[in-house]
Amino acid sequence: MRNIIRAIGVMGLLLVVGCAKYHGVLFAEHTHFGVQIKLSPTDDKPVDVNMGYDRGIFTVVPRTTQGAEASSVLSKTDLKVSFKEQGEVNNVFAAGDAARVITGAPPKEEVDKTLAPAAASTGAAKRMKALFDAPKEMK
Amino acid sequence: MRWKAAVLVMSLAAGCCAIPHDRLLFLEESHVGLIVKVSPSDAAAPADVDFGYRRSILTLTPQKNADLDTSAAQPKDYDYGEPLSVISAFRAKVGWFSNTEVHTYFATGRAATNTASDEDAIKQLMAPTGETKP
Repeated sequence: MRNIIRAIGVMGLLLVVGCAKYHGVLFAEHTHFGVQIKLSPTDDKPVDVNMGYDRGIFTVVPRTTQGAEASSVLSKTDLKVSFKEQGEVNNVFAAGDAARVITGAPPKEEVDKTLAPAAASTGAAKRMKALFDAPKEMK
Repeated sequence: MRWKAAVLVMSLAAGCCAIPHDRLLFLEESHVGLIVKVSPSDAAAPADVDFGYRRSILTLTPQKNADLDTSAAQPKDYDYGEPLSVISAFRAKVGWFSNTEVHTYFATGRAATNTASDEDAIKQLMAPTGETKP
């Protein structure tokens, strides 16, 4: 995990410093649940035990235009852990118009006019409910 | 998946500005269960045990109009647009003595936007696994 975060950090730094003209979203996420044991006798930390939940997100999200909001990115994780019954994992990542539409906003008009009516309908509220009520619905 | 190697490659690509604006790069690794790695010849890391759930995502998602920027300087208020559409979903239901379910979904572009516009499809992705339709 530490190596991944380190690599991602280096990548982000390179991207920001070396590629200032890159217009896009950099998103890196790591989610872990359970037990992880690493033995590294030559390291200064020879034993690394990670038990439980671990999540890290590194992201660089540009504005769509100066003074505007950040670009649309959505990341959602639901975990239900039980030793008596089934455990459940639900992880969703979305970006761009897909993320906008999921959260209730209509897609930008110039993108796809055919989608606007569906997205602008009251169904958007239900999609939001489906998105955020999911953990409560878990039995 | 050689996760670290992939991250390194993408880091180098990003560092060299080799990533074009018209490509969406998406790297994902999902794991449920038990991984045991024993490498006696590797003195630095002879054993690695991972039990549980792990998911890693690394993506470079360009904005829709980003490639237009390369031809000429754009005004400060130039609208680069939203990032390209992408949806990635992973759902798993794991029991000790019962059936295990794993569902994955990945879509980009119009497929992703269409999926997002479909209320039933979003419910399928977001709701708990036990409530999915066959």
